[in-house]
Amino acid sequence: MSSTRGGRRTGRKPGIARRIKLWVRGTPPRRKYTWARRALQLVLLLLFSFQFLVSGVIIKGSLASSRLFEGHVPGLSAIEMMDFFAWLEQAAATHSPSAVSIIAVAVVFILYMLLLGRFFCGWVCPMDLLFSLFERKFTRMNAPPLTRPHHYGRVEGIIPLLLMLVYLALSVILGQPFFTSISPVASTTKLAAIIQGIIYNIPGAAVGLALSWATLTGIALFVNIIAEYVFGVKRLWCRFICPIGNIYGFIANRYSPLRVKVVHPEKCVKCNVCSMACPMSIDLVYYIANGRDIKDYRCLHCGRCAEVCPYGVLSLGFRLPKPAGQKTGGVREEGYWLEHP
Amino acid sequence: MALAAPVAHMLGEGQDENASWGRGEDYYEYFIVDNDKEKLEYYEALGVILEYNGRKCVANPLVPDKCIAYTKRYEEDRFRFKPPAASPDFYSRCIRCGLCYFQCHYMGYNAIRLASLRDGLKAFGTPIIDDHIRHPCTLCMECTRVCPTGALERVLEEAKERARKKERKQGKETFDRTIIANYPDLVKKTRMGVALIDPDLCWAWNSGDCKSCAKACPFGAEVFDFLFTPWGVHTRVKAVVRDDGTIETKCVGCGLCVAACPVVGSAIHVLPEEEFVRRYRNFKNTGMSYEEYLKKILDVEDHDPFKAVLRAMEINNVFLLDIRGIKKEKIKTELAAERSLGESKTT
Repeated sequence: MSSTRGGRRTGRKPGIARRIKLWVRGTPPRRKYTWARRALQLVLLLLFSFQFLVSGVIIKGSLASSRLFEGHVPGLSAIEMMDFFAWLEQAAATHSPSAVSIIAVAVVFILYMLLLGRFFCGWVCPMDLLFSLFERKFTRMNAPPLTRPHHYGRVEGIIPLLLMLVYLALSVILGQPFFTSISPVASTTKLAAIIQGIIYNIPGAAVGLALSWATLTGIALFVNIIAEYVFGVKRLWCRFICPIGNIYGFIANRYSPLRVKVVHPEKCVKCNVCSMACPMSIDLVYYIANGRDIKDYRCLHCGRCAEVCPYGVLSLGFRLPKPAGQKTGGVREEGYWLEHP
Repeated sequence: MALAAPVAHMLGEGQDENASWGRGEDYYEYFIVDNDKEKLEYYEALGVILEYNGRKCVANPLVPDKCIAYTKRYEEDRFRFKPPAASPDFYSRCIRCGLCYFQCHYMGYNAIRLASLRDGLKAFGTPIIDDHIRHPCTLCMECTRVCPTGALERVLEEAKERARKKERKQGKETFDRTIIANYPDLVKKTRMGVALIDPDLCWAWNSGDCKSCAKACPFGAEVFDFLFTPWGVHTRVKAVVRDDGTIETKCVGCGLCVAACPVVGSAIHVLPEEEFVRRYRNFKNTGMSYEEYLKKILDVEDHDPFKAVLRAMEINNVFLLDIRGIKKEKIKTELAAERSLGESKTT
């Protein structure tokens, strides 16, 4: 990997001035998005896990529902946030949407649905942190479908939607929010409950909670690792099973201002480095060849593709949706071998 | 839904969600004197020894053909409660976010814990209050304030709103959590369980002067009733069970009285409503209701002093002091509070 760093191979090491310049500007594959992502995810996980040290003033609760800056927001008791899919499931289970949580859901809806798209998965979710520890770094381009970067077909695109409906139906049948109560996302951020239970000797909170925490997080990790290493399917959990991010992806990724932009499509040499780096197996070259921004429902806005591209074709940033039909000015080549109908 | 039934059963729908930690049916224990020769001889001389399953136990002076039974220690007779003001469709509304648990910890009470997989799949992740002796609920109602879905209803806010409307006319605005007791429908919403005093185990029903439970109760004399007699300060929870199984009481089952009781294992236990009705109607399997049982005690104390002395001094107090024990530090704190109150009054 080091041979491709900076896109140039020289016999001697670069001088200090050049090294600083490279560090500031970043060298391809630039790691700036990954560092920022890891920092945000870790900070959030630590804030959730050790919230009791500051009595939950900064953040309180878990990713299913949280309260920010309790008592420090003028005019409000706190900024309430609540998971959108949890709200849907809860509405299905009680047969009526809850009016109490409407503000809490609205905050999340505006943030993710209207602004950031599937930002939650790549930048906030602690499971992304765990999954990427065990990620396969490379996928062969001639591998069978599902295991190589590909444009999603009709069947693949419908599986997560069907699963969402199954979760909602199960919520109605069982009379309780189904996925939310077994969700590893909320469960992982409830780590504070265990630490608290051990430190303050809260009866029944330590061992039982630790076991159930480990069970839920462990199941997700196990499923994902088996899929990745045995069957070669990247991020099975995020792509198919977990509805929390998928619902943002399906609804918001198409229109969200935050997106992976195709800024210099003419510079692309179709080396497929971006597609292979993508944790969600998106075929980015297909988008670049068509000169479109990445509006795939799978896109986590993690910026991996942008930071590995040696020619700066892609970048992560804000761009308002363009009218249909208008393209970014791509260089579409007839008969390109990865093109899809 | 027919399809739902087996799945629901698997999730514990059919089971009693408030199932006791101990053996629910046998909530009482007997005064068995097999191993204590001295006591056996003493009670045999008094003529109150009965055979029970091949063991010798002391008879109940009120019901001479039955062994005297005491409520078990709290650890063997505790129940899982939902937090206060849980809505009827609590499990559908709760999204298992844990905010109530964290808030309860930040308030410093630690009454709520999150259910683990051991508590059943249905309750998994939901808040549970089940240790009244160490961590009783103090009815601060913070958990209901932070609940994002209305699984815990905002009762205190509603009560304050009503009080504000009412008191705006009178020109004063003073209220705290106890204003819930002014509104019977809100009390019913808030209720987790109802407290039940065991008159055979309670110190105040056996020549003592205690009132610890009533002092600890946030609603005080609205829930507790006293009868001052030469045989002790008879304390009871004001609760009436109607024929259709509804309970009329202001007790919400917070468990502060359980924590305050000086008897080891507590003479007052908070029970879920169904269990309360069951025990109330057939108290200690004597066939008498709780009301009748108390009346019988008062009756004996009025008309049969020998039996009353036998009951209180010779049997119940011996069990209380020798077998259960009384936590002296709890009485001491009670007395200290009284003393400091008296001093502040005089100075």
